[in-house]
Amino acid sequence: MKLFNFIAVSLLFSAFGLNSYAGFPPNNLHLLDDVNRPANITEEQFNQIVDTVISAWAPLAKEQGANLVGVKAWKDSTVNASAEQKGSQWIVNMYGGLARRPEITLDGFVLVVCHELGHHFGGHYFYKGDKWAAAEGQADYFATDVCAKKIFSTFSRSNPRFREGVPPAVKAKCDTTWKTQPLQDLCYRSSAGGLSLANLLAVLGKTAAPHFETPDPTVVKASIDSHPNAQCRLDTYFAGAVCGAPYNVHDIPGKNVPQGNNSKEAEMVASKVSCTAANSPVGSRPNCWFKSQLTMGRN
Amino acid sequence: MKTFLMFALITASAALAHAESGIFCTNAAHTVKVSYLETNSGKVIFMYTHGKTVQVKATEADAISMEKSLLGNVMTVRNDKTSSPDKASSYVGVILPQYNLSGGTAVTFETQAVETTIKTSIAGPAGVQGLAQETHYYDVKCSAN
Repeated sequence: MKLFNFIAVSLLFSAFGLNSYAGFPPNNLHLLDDVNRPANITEEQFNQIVDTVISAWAPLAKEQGANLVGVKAWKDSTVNASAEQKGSQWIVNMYGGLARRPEITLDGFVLVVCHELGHHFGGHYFYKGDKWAAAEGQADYFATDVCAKKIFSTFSRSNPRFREGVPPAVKAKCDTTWKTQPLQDLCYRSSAGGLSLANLLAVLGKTAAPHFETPDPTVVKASIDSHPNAQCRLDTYFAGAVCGAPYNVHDIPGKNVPQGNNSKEAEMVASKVSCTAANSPVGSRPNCWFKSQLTMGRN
Repeated sequence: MKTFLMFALITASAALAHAESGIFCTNAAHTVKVSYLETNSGKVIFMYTHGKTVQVKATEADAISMEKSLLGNVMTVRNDKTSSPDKASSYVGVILPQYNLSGGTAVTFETQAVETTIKTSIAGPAGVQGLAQETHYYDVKCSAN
């Protein structure tokens, strides 16, 4: 059964793979959600994507003493997704209203699930004063740095299709870090998913459409835990895709460090599994939301 | 029993001896309580209780936000038990008037404790339609030393 699901999802991903860099339908803020309206994602795909991501991380949640739950509300028109923890229940809430948005591709939706998962597993940098929730930028970074790589690497047959039409800016940075074709393809694919999600966030946040070629020049004086703008978020997805630092999925970096989740000590722990200005400036967390405490004036 | 009382007194005295400053607030019904202690060694403890439940306990200085305004200093701490990233952020806090302490004399004042929930979305608060924040205020009496 598991093999069947794997093959089925793999085929679904393959079928939609070619469209990811082809631009998106015109944004229509007045589009009313309709569960019967044709969308890029079907109910079956919606359920399979959530199940695939959740089942990949459920054993890792168990290691943390938690039960990971994916709530699949396809018929719910809410254009959103969220994460919450109730005792040992680590919950990811996914709504059909977001999945049916025209900006969202299959891979973009994978990144939405990965982003919510990132709030539970992303680690440092955290929401200020929060004992468990990774900040928005960190959840974005986790989505492509860790989650997308794990999920998309299981669909090796469809990944090469993302080589076709890859934007030069994406190809240049991906190829700087990744030297083999499969890893480059994975980077292209994660970046394409990031663009899909960032486009939706731009529409919902009523900001300009983001581009790989125009990174956010903002340099924050201290890390922010709230939602960065869509361009900054695309920069973060791209940085995560490009980051080649080895990540330990069995750990939540920086969590429960005695000095505090957002302390310098927590960042030092997390820096061992993150790209930093010192070890890999190409894939480090963008300055538009993240400010390192380890080195003055550097990320 | 005697031993317990002795222990409690010694513990309380020790805590006070190490406390550089503190703020204690409660409402008339004693259902809402806010306490903040800062020791000489720089350790802090913030607790916000509503009913019989401690809603928020923070022991890290950077978890406690203090924002100055002409209406007063607002001490705020995130409630991670009720916050849900991309859905809602909950905070508790208290509005503090300006005061100066000298000679070990405590000051007392009336103010308000605050519980607030800010609705948000995966795209931030801009993705929320209509009223995005719900706030409850509680009249409290405080002493600060």
